[in-house]
Amino acid sequence: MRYPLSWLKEYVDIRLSPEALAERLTMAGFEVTRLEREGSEVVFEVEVTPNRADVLSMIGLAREIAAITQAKLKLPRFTSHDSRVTKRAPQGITPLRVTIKDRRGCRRYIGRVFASVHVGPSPQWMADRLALAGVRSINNVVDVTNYVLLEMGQPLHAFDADRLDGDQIIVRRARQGETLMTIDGAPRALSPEILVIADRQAPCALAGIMGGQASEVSPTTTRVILESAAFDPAIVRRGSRAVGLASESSYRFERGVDVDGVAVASNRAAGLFIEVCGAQEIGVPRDVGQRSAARSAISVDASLVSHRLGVPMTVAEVARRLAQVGCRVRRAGKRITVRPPQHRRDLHGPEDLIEDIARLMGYRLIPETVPAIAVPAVALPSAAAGDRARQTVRQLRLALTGLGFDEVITYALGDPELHQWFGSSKTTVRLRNPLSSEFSLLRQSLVPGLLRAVQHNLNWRAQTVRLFELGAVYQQEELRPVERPRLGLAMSGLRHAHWQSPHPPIDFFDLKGALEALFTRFGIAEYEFRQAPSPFLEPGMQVDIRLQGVPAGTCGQLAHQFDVRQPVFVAEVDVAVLVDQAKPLPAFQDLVRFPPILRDLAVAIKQDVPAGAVISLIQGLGDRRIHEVKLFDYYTGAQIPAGHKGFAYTIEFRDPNRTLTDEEVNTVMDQIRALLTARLAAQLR
Amino acid sequence: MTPEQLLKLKEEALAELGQAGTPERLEQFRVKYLGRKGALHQITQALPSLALEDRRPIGRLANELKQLLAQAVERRSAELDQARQAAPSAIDLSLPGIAQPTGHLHVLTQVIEEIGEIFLSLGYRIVEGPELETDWYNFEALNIPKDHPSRDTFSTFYVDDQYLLRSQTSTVQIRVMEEARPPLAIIAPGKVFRPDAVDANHAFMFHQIEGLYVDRNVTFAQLKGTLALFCRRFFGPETKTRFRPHYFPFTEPSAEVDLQCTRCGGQGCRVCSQKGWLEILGAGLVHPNVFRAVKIDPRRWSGFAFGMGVERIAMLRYGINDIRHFFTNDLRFLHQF
Repeated sequence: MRYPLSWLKEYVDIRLSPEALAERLTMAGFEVTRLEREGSEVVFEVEVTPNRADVLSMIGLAREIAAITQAKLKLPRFTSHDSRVTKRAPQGITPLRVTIKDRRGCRRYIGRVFASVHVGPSPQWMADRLALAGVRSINNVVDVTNYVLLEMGQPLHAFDADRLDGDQIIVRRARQGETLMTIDGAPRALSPEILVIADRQAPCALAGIMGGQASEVSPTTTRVILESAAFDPAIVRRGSRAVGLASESSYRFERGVDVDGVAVASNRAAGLFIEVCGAQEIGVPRDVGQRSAARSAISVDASLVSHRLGVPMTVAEVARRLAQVGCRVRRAGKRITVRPPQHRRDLHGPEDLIEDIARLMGYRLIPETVPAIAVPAVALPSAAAGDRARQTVRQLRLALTGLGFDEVITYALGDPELHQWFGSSKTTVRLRNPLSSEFSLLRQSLVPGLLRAVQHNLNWRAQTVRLFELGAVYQQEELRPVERPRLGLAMSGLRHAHWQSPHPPIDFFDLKGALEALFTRFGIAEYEFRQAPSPFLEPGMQVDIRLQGVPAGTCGQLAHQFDVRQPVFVAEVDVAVLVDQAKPLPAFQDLVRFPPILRDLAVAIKQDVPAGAVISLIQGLGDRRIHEVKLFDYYTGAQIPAGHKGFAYTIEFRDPNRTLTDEEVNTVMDQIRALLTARLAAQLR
Repeated sequence: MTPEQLLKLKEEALAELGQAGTPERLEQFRVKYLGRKGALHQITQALPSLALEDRRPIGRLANELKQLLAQAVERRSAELDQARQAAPSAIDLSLPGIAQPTGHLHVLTQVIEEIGEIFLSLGYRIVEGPELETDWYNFEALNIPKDHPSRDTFSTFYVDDQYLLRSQTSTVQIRVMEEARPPLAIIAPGKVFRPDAVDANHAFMFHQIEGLYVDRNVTFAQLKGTLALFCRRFFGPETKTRFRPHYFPFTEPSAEVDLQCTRCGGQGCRVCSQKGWLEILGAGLVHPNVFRAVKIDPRRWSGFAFGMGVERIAMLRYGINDIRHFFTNDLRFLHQF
């Protein structure tokens, strides 16, 4: 809110420079976000927190300044009307009737009638002050209501009395089907959750939010009904949300206004109407509802204040600080009974008083100490499982960066068009209030986000892109939406390119290799890659991954329908399965003391025979001396018969208990060759 | 063995020595002639089989040859050493090295880990909570009842009537306090979501780190001390901080913690919007209503809580000018950290 310094000075003595005052206000909880100078005028832009709606006015801030700087407050006295004095309405004029149908929605309503109103421009001093405070001058009647709003924080409304049917104001809930054209020219459909000001026929204004166009004060208005009321914060808020309208009035009502202040503001406005609009009050103000809100006392112990702040404070100091903000304080030994002033609606309990004491003292004066934290280790059972998962994820990150992958973080929200390939629409979690359709659902897979990241980098001519992400995916399940952690990988471009060797492109085996390296790194002995259909992967490279028989994820090449001009390989793994299968502690295996014997084997097998068949057959012999069979070469070409492919393996033989002999190894090699010839029609080379 | 034969041997040996161009070939030579089973040794062994009058002259010649060759080998060895050191390097050092580059952790991960380390060292435990939450955890338990104007500050994405995407990590405070009795000290990093239009300083998804410490007599002074210590450890020992009163529904007293702007030393500049200070943390003593919501007696226990935006802190620390960089994942950005 904007506060012109010259206006503030009307209510409080200010000796400090504007900069110094701004600093004091900021350090007392009212952050001055801007200090503007317009000629000789200075305007503060202050951020007022939701709990201090009492400061959303010149007088409100003046009170705070007085408390903070120990300055003199100069509050004007506006004659309060005395409803006991009955003044007859002039002959022939029906007195105003005010009925509050919804007592919860409206705790107090004061309605007053003015005649002989001359609607015209406001006096310069008023227009100037409004302008400095950022409010446009409209006409003298409306300006008076805005002026008092800014001055006192009480929202007011002026109706053209002749546009209201019968001199009757009814405060009620709207009925389904009723409508109202608000002063901004938009028709509003109403419903029972909205509080309205109505006349005999229809709603005339959205209570506390905005007036109706039909009863708006215009240049031809001669009679005005002035409304000053206390509407319930929650009901105004709900009404505001329901019609999608907010205003300076609704803003203040939502944060709460003073039931007492309703009358003061009404009197102030009345006086201004008479002074500025030439008006005359007709009849007596109608004051319906609660006159004053009861405030209960708060009991606080001075030692509690010391304990909470960590600063020793005497009872006298505590009492003094509280009196500084206008509390009535009664002491009984260490106990203090506090009655907060009417405008301090934010003070409910000892904690609120403690905050006020601290901020008046200045947070700066509270020392800095560091506690020695002693928390028993068993305190949080879920944390223990979480620790293990976190450790594994941490190692996963290290392993992945070690393998040359860069970590990315992509948006968890996505658009329906791209995400349709990545999960059933039945399990999609959609947002009810998205900002745009581009980010209107929660991702069911990490792949679309990774794809975008890959595309972006390829567009910027990156030669090698290797990315990973650890993040959640979300799915709608029967009872509720569920989130699960996933690992995603994406690769595209050239294998690490350098000048000593040619630059082969990344292919599926780079991805497979990275995954195998990860699984091995975590001690997962058994894993399986198997073709399985997938809507977003290229046929022939749609792979299902299982860890020790448990489904763990997918990988493959991204299908052609996505806009990428070179192959992109992706994988997605369920982190929970990975964490579950990972072996936390390796079991040491003693080193073999006897030298191994290595033999090479070159075979040509038919094109349709999987490469793994050779190794399976060899291992299927069950000979414990065959320690490892490793593929080291693959070739096609002139030496290989048509319809065949060539593989070369190194077979490592060893025995933990003795040195093997060439003869026995030869025998096994013969067996292997015979087996391969017989079972795979392999041709040995 | 005749003197003539010895002479011939000497000529052969010296010729061969001249051919020994590498330390390995030299060693082969030495073994061949001077070794335990070498030529000269054999000659010496064979001496007894010679005629008596020949033994001494041959023996003497053999010995001379042995010494000659030994010295020659030493000289040759030294020559080879020198030659090796003096020879111009065959390697072109201007060629780039070849390495398998390691990948980079995302800068936000690095920041979260570093902040985690600081608090671990102070005795806090790291915990996490769900991103999909309910109104209870995101608002009501945090002393933000329905229809409270504070809900505007924490605008939220809703999935349905029950579930939403959390708008702050403070939800984890409630989960932790529901699960375990005090004393408790935790920090909780994680993603949060707000329906804010995306621009250079705002994104609808970002990361926060929440902290909570509940014990017998936790004070505001301890909150100040803890956060000041964190700022010095993370931003540097010369870091200046200030605590400013603020408002959060779930803490009372509340504060915001500002860092003095390093760019202008507190004078005011574009980076700090002319304020001279940069806000980085929100904090306060846990509000008794929050304790009541989780059935912890506020008369027996007190606590403090704090929260920080990770992107903001990373942007301040590294001088990153646009929050969108974190989520575009351009390699030229990722590789800088």
